[in-house]
Amino acid sequence: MLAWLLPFAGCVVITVLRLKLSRLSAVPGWIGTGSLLVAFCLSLFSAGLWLMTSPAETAASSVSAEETPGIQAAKVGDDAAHETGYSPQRRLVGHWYSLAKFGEIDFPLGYAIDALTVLMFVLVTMISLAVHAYSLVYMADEQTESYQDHHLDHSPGETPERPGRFAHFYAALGLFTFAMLGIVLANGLLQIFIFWELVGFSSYLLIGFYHERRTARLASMKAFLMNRVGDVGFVLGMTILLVTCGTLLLYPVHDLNGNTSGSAPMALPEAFQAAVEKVVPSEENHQPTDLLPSGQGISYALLVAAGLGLLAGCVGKSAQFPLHTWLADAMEGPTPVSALVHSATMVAAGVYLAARIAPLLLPEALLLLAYVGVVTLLLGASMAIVARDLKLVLAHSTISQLGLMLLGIGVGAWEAAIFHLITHAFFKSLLFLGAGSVIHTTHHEQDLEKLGGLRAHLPLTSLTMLIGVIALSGLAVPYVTIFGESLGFSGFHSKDAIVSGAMAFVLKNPHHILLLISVLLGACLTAAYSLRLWLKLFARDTPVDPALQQVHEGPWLMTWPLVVLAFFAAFCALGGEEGLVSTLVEASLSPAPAWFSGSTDEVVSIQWTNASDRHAVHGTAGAMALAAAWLGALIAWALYGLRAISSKDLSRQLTPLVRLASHRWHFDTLYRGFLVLPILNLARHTAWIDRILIDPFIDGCARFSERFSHASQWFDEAMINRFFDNMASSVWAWGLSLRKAQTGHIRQYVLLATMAVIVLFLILFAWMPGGRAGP
Amino acid sequence: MSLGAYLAVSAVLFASGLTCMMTKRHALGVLMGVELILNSACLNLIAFARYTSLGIDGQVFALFVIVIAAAEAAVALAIALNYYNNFLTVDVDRGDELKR
Repeated sequence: MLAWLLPFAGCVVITVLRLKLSRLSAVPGWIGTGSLLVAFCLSLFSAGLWLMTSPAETAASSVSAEETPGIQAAKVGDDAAHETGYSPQRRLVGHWYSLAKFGEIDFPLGYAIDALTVLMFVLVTMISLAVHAYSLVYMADEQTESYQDHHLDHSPGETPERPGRFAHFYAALGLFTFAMLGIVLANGLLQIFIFWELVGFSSYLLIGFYHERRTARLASMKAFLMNRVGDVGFVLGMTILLVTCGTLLLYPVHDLNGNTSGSAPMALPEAFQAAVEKVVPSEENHQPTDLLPSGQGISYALLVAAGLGLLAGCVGKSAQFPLHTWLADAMEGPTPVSALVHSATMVAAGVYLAARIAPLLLPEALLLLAYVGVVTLLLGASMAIVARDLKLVLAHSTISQLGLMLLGIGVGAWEAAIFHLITHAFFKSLLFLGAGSVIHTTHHEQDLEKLGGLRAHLPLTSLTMLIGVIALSGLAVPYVTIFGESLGFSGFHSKDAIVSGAMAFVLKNPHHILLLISVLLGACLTAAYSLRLWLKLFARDTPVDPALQQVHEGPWLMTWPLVVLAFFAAFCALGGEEGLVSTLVEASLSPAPAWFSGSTDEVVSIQWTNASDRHAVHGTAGAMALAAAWLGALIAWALYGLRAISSKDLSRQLTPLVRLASHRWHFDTLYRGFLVLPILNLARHTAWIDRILIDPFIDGCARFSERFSHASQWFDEAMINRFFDNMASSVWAWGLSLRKAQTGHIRQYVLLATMAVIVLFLILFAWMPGGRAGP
Repeated sequence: MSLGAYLAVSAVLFASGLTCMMTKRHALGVLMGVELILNSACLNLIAFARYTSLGIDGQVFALFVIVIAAAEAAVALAIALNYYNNFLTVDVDRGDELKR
């Protein structure tokens, strides 16, 4: 919990302090990094606690059952967590605060902690810590009063200068980390959505960090809008779920003994299953109207739509086809940001959510998801292989890897997808930070054609990036095992898992063979482009460009994150699917819903697979994936390493394809033509209508009301004021005349009073008949 | 002695008190007139208590009148003192400040 709040605290502190500190100071960076370091230690500590408590839990002795909640409650460190406990999947769920309550429907803010959450906490804080430390150096040139932005297009003769924004950068980075941890921690879709938007917003800040550049402004706007498109789907999906299931909680709240309290509402998965079971038999009986009570007309299509809506959110956030174009443009942000936000964590949020809600997805939605993933995988890979910009290669590679993960979810292997997410986070942030190291030392040179032969000058960067590249392409030495482990880096294991998932799926459903072929093709392409990247950057001993002779490694703050990430990229998946990480992931995700039990689904006729099916084909799938990867690697080696085949000849042969891919398959053009331009036109016409029709009307209204008020002012002055003035002056005159009676002489008053009494008596005796009765 | 005699004395007291109030310019003289008037009223009450069915009530009332007269005298003397402090005179005809 504290780990979650610390980045936020860091962000707040920086925001406050930036007003007082000079722009030259590095203090904001140290605050941000320090808070992240503590957060990382805390999450590591809680992960350790989690692991330690887990055997005790399996022992299920009464003593440990009593002890472990206590430890966990201590770990949470939050006395307000009044409802903690276990589900069969070992999950810590609770509420902090009820945001709103509308009748039956409650929107609480709470948390759901399970193995996956702990794992993601460690992951996010670690990568964020690495990026924070790295940025201390990378962004050091922002610590100035007048930062000169050489990428800014400006009129000649004028040097663009602006104050540095070091503190700004760290504030945004801290905010982002906080939001990401919030997503991971949240229980309930609404809470996820809140942090989801916060992530989007901080990403917007970070992409548009160099907001003097037009490209950066456009890119941040594009990313924000593309995400909104997906979020519309998210909101729609949430609404449908809320209407049909009556809750947005992902997991039920337990009390300390593990019993759900009597009034606790059903969590989403159970409620959703109930809704499905209510609908599906009705379709079999062909009497849908009889079984559905009026006013609660849930149809099967609506439930599918809910899943699709949520998936639209994931697709937007994870930059999947057809909303993938924003991620490549997001590379306008500083490179450490790309490493943290646009490769490792933010885009992974989509996949994370997809895996969390996977039990809510009906077969149609999953199938669509699989195909979306495949299309994205191939598109991204093909774009990456022709991209000339260093960061662009990595961006497209991220897109395609995310496609692979969604494919994994689509074929039902969501443990494999999350597994790949984690390994991918390590090696992709490693690659980005390595790229940042190159960019930093070469003074913002990103063109692959101009770079090259940097190995001698950047030995550490080149070595760590080689590890990242191998992990990304999933290469391994076949048939060699050391200590019972196959000799491969993390990407090899996780990609294997997904490929075997896809293979098992295809074996059961032969008419979706396209999925498997595409995955293998994608693996081949991945190996090719990642090796191409490395060879272009580092192969050969001397730089191509004499201007690059002076490059050198950065200080330790830049290199150490690389080394740490390289270590994890290499070894975090040790043990493959039986390893620690994978087991933790598997332990936390929901079990497959009923329709995964192997039964043939009526609507799309798909046979779903389960873990044992996947395990059966694991060896074959691994071999195929490995073969594909080696094929790709060999191609890349032949093209760029040995130069056995001239790459120029090859690209000439494939001109149309290359041109298509290097224009990013014209998606931007398409969107511009079909969406952006019409909307701009619409906006222009609306503005015209505004000016021609509405503005005169409003002006007329204003003028009329002005005239009217003039008239009423005249009326006030001439009639009403005069009347009241006259009245007041007459009252005044009357009062003056009365004043003369008040002489101020007491004796006079007494005389008058006496005379008045005598007169009254006289009147009394004169008129009252009984008063005459004298003595 | 009959009721009429008491009432006659009371009336004389009342008239002289009233005359005193009306004619004296000295503030303390006015106060003495007030005392005379109060005492005439007191005498009336006692007389009615003695000769009619008013009984003990009249005497109690007379006690009240005496107490109130004492309080009034205290307040009035304080006013007179302040009056003298402000105007350096005790002539009531000079005190017409409020009129202005």
